[in-house]
Amino acid sequence: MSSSAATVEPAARRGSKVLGRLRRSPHFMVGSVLALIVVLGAVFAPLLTRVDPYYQDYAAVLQPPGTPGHLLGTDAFGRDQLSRMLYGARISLTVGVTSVVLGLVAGVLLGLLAGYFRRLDRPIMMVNDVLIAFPGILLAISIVAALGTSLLNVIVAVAIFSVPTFARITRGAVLNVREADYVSSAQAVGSSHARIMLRTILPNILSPLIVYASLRLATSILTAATLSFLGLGAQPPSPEWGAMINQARTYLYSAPYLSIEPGVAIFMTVLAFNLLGDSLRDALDPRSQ
Amino acid sequence: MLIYSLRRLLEAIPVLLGVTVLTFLILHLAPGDPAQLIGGPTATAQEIANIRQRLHLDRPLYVQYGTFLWDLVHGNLGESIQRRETVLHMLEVRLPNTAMLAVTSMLVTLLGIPLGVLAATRPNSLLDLLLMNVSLLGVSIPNFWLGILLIIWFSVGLGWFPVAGYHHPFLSLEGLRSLVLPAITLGTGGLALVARLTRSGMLDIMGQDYIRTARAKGLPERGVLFRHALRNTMIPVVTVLGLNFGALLGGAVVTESVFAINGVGRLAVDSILARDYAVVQGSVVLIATTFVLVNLLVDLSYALLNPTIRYA
Repeated sequence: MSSSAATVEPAARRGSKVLGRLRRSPHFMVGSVLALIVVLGAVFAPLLTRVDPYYQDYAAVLQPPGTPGHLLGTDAFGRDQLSRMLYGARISLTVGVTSVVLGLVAGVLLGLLAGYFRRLDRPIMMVNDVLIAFPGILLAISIVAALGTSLLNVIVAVAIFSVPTFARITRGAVLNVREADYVSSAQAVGSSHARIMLRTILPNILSPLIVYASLRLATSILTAATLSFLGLGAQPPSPEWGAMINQARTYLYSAPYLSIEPGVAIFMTVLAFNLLGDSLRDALDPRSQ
Repeated sequence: MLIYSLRRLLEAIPVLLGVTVLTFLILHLAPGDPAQLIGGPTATAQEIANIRQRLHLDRPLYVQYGTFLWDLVHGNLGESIQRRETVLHMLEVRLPNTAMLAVTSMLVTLLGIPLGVLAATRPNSLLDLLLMNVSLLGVSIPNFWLGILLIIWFSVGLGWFPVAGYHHPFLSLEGLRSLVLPAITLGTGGLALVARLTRSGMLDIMGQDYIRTARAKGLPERGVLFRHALRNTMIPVVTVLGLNFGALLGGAVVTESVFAINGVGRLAVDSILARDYAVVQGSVVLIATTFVLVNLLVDLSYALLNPTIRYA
């Protein structure tokens, strides 16, 4: 009922309502500012710092933050922390966005098939349940175990880790609208199954997917950083934030800033996308507040 | 209730089988020859053939899986190629440490319930805003980084807690001190989630007619809150606690690595890095099975929380 009612409301009016709610949301504002800082830092890294993130200056090792020429200090190899943090943002955003897009595409396709074709529902959801039975990041860890430790494999692992939840959300949403009048009409005029799924159903179930994708971006960035922290993802000398914290563990006494700074970056990025996801959910579905 | 319990138990079996199939496949379809890996770079062709025969790697995949499953139900998880020790023994030694970490973190997570109630009793107050914003931060903080921050502040800076490792026995001053930071590290994310959920559930329920009735008949506020409102808020909270237990087990992998705790999670990571597949397989199956069983218990606990739920 609610879904067909929602489609009756002109899309433009609904869109402006959502935008209005977002503009009034302090969480959305804070999230946007934080996300913008990270994105701009990643895009304009070469302009914001002239120092190569891999350049080792043995005359300036473990310089504390505030040292002239090294705003955030240097690491044990004399590499500039600020430069590594900025280039690290590129890695984190790339890994996060790529893995979410891959997981989204695969999960949505599986969810559409499971929700639309009753015969496929049970087998797809059974495999899904098994994937979900892997606790936390254990599935991602197992996949990296099989494929080997590298950043590319982390993207694959985090994408697969995201598939089951996208599939479950899509299937649930499809089940909600499958019997709606506009789906029956599309079937009546002889549209193909693929067309009904992708052109009729998908546009009407986008809201929960958009919300979940932005929340998932936060989780994916966090998972990728965690895998690199464990030594299973990006390998030294990569300026990946999780890998940087892992290498900095030896210097907790002498240079704690080496652990603190990349952690702040991960925290800020994850928080930004969590805030954006939360506020999007509230704006798209005010009843969820 | 009995029928429901049996049905849920039966439903868990295919999921558990699926977990073993998936773990088996992930590791057996991985690129690279395990026999070559075990034999090392200097192994001769004959030695590799012998290893392959000993580990049944020369048989078809489904036979290998059958053997793996047969051994698994007989408690034989294979042998570590790195330490020449049985995987079962390695897990037995480490399980108590992981269990202790999970239990103490769960206690930290449960603190979210009183915090959520407190926030719900004073909606939109400074306390409520503070609690809810702090809980949002709690959900976003990487737990490995939180662990490192806690070590920097409380172990390196103030010297209150040990920097790493568990001290045995747990029921000693040293033992308890060694539990504090790992438990906070692992429990904080769940605490934030539970606090938010309890708060929103309580706020929903406080507007219901039966709460108004309870108040109208003169029940003390505490009774209304805890006997009527909280009890009805608990079903979604318990569900999330069960699901969060998965995150907790996954997080244990990370927390054990941060605090150098000799647990199952750290064993899994170390074995991945050493490509010791039998150990990876054993620890992954153990952790995933625990998760499935905990969620089964969560499902069964609904009846205790809400007797109006009828199973059949």
